[in-house]
Order: sequence, then structure tokens, then C-alpha cells
Amino acid sequence: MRHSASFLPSRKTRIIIGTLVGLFFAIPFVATTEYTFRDVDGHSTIHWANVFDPAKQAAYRPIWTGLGNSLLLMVVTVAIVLFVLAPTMILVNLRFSKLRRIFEFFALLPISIPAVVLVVGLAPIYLVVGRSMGTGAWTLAFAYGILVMPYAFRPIQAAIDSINMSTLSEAARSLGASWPKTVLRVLAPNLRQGLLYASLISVAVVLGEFTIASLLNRQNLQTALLVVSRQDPYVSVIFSLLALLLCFLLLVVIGRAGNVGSHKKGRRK
Amino acid sequence: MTAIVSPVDTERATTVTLEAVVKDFGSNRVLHGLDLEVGAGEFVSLLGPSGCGKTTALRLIAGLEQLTSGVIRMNGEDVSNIPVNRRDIGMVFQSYSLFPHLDVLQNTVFGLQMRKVAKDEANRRAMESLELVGLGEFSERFPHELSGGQQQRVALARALVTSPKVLLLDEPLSALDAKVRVQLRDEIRRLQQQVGITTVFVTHDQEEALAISDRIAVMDAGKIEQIGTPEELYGSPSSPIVAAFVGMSSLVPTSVSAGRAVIWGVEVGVVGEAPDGDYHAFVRPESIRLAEDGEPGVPGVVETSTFLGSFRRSAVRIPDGSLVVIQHPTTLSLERGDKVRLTIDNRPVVVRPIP
Repeated sequence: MRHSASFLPSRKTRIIIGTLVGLFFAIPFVATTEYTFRDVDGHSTIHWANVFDPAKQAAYRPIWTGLGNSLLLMVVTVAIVLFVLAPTMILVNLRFSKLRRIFEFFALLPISIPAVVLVVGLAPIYLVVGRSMGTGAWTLAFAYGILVMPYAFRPIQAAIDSINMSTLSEAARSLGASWPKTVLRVLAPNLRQGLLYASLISVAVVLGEFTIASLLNRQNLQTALLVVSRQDPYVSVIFSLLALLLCFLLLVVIGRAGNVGSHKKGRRK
Repeated sequence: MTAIVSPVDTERATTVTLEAVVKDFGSNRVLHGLDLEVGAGEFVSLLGPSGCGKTTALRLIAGLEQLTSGVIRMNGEDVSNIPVNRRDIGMVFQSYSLFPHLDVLQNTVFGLQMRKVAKDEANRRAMESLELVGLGEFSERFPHELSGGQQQRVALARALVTSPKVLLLDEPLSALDAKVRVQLRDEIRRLQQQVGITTVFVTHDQEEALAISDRIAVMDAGKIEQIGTPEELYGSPSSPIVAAFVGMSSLVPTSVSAGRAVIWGVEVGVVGEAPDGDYHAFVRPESIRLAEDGEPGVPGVVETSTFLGSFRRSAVRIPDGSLVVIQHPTTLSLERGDKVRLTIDNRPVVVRPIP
């Protein structure tokens, strides 16, 4: 590890890169914020005031509904990643290593299929889903589970590759742990970082998803923003900003929560 | 936990029996009907080159692999279908296997938690077990803060803390450097005798096996070639494979007639059956010495001579072209090019047909 320090860019290079990347992300954000303060002649806070104007709440209702749906979708999708994708990957890597390549191919496949095309296949499936499980917005999570798979796969696989999973699980088993205990008590804590990143990226994807929800006629945050923007583009942009902020906060909160366990370790170092 | 520190508990000590054990990986048969009996409290090593099936045999005893056919018994009871987590074994692995997210004490206490031992008692037993391997003060360290040798000692404490029926050691020393390896080897033996636990030890290092074992099973190509005490294997190997693998030997051409071989004018016995013909004989360094005047012997020229502390080891080229290794006191200083005459002690030798 020590000699890798020489490969780090110098402090100056780091500052330059940091500034450039920072600008790249900051400019649209600042421009958007500036837009929300525009008025016929100059700037004012009128549009922000509108958001909190009780008289106009009816017009903004779709956004609250959409936001609620998106949050629910987020929870279900993350659950799919943590309780379906991750255990499957553990199983594939431990017991069916010959399937690794094929599994990776299928896990990464959705990234190469545009959402619009995906919907063509999903539409008839959702006819059936609608009949058996209702047409609630939460059912979109099944599609989202597939959509986030390529993004969630990478960090989990990287975490799996970084630990000696077979020896750890064999050690746990030899000490009397059942398979569920082995996964929960030994493997999951050591894959924590990967599971965390997979969850974060799933949250980001779900909160930003528009195409599938729109084409399957479900309401989520993004479709609601579009609806509202038709009546009042300023308010729509304000909500976009707020959504971005919410997303940012969620990422921080989840990141913090996931790091709690490692603080103890860090302190003792 | 008293069982760990008490003298040999013969009632608890377990016998392990393998009967006609066969293991296939796909179409590849790695164990061809293995039979092995490990006595209660005995330390048995499985020794052999890589790929001989020794690790597979150990993993079958552990329950980490499924038998293709045959039976594995502990104290006479068939355990072949009991999964690893209920087989009550302790295992130390070749690669470091401590749980990286848990500290030393938490690692050690893990097996007791799985057995639902009350927290206070579990912690006390874990501490005792750590004291036993001399790491009581390291209980709050994390695995990455320990050296390789310390990690393997914690792994040993972790494996022993539950008082398992059998201790299984899968080349636990091979990742360590030479000095630590010898220390830990002796410590494993001391602990094993103190606890009196039946132990199966897998290694490819013959010196390790000779130093540590009650008995050694030399394996080759999925079968046990010979099983016996270290002295038996070294002194009277039953086959060329064992002779070549255990201890150091020189290959000397010889011819056998009527069960006797003649080497350098000295007639010696032959181990086992050997029809008349030409053979290579395995000759131990300590069977060869410099010939006195008048003794039968063979001339040779020293090629190398290595100082090894308490003795020297020299390689001597003899006229038929073979290189013979001898050991001698450091007072005798041989140098490259020195002319010597060698003779052999009259002990039975193992022979194999010249390929």
C-alpha cells in the first residue's frame, strides 16, 4: 500500500481536477436556482412563495402523490437489491461459480436496453401484474429491480471479490453457524460497503426514473413534475431542486447509517 | 471452560474412521477408497504432494464436501450426512480465516454464540482459550492488526473454544515464514497434547509431519501409500513413493538378486518384494559415510558442500554419474573437487525399477 502513494496526483492537480468537476456539477445547479428567482422584471421570491401558498396546493397535489410513490418504490427496490440480488450473487459466487459469467451477463444486460424498449416487453407483463397484484404504483418496483440491477451488481461484485468469501463462510460453518447465520453475521457485514453503494445508486436511479412510470401510466416523482411543469414551469423547477436536495439528504443519511459500524473499527486503529 | 485445560479427557476424545471413502469431482476421482482410523486423542498427519487428495480427505471429515461413497464415523457413529455446522469440529484453514469485521475476542466467541452459550460464560471461555495460545492481551485487536502467526493462533483458539470432537488443520502453517512456522508447529503439538483432542493435520511438508505427528499417512494419487509412526516411515518406508517423499535420499543404481542388493561392493537387504534385475536404491544420507582403508566403497568427487550449523551436507559425484548426498560433522571440511571414497551401512534399502 505504501508505495501506491507515489501514484497519487499532486495536491495542485487534485485541486484543479476538483474545481473542474465541481464547476461541471455546480453550473447547472446554480443556473436552475437562479431561474426559480426570475420574474417579469428582475428577480423575486414570488415563485417560492407560490409553493407554500395554501390556495395553490390543489395544483401541486400530484407532486406529493408522486413523491410518496417514489419513496415507496425506493424502499421496495432497495429491498429487492438487498434481499434478492445480493443473496443470489452470494449463492452464485459460492456454490455455482460456473454460472458467474452468465449471471453477470444477464445482470448487466438491462443497461444496454433503452427503457422505452424495456417497456414494450414490460407492458403485457404488467397487464398480468395489474390483474393479480393491483395497479398500485409500488408494482413498478419489479421493473425497477431489473433497471437498477446493472448498477447494483458492480459494487456488490467488487465487495465479493475483495473478501475471501469461501474461506469465511467455511470458517463460520465449521464453528456451527447455519447458512442464514453465516450470511447475516459474517458475509453481510464484510460486504457492507458494496451493499451500501448498491443501495445508494438504486435510490438515485429510482428517484430519477421517468420513462417506465410514464409509459406504464404510473405516477412517480418525475411524471408528477412533468404534469405540474405544464401549469407552472417555475414551481416544477423548484420541486426538481427540492427533489435533488431530498435525494442528496437521503444519500447522506443512508451513507451515515451504513458507516456506523465502521466507526468503532476506525477509532481503534 | 475446564475441558480445554484439563489433562486428556479420554471419555470425550473421539475416534475418527474413514471406510472405503470415494470422492469424485465430476468425472475426476480424487479419492480411491480411502481407509483411515484415527484413535482417540491421536495426532495424525495426512502427508503428500499437492493434488494427492489430502485436503479433500480433511474436508470430507469436516463435512465441507459430500462423499461420493463410503462412510465417515466419529466414535463409531455414521456422520456422513451430518452438515458441517452440526458435526462439532474445529478447523483451522490455510488462508487467514478470521472474520475481518470482528475483533479477536468476538472472533473467538463466535462458535459459542452459535451454540447459544450465555454471554458471560462465553466471554470467559473465549478469554481462557486466548490465554491458552498466549494472546489474552490481544482480545481487542482486529485481525488486520495481527501478524500472520498471531492470526493463526487466534484461529486455533477459536477452533478449540467449543471443545469440538475433532480438530482439523488444513496446512495452517504454510502461509507463515520459517521461524514462526516452527514455533507455531511446536505450540500446536503442545496444545493438542494438553487438550487431548483428536487431530487430523494436512501438510505437504514432510519435516513438519515428522516433527508433530503420532502417526503419518503418506498419500499419493488418492490413496494412502503407508501409515505409521514417523520413525517407521523414515526407517522402513514400504514403497519408493514413501521413501522419496519422507526424508532425504539419494538414488543409487544397483542390481538385485535373490532379495539382496549390492551397492558399492556392500551387500544389503531389500525392503519388500523385488524380482531380480536392475534398480535404483533410495539411500539416506546418514547411511553413507567415508570409507576407511580396506573397506569396500566407491570413489567420488565432491561437487558442493553446505554448512548447516550443526553438520555439513555434501554432494558427491560417483563414477556411474549419480549424485550422492552425505552428512558429516563440521570438523570434516570438504571442498569442491576433493576426492573421497564412500561406503554404505548395512541397512535394508527401498528399491524401484529403473524407468
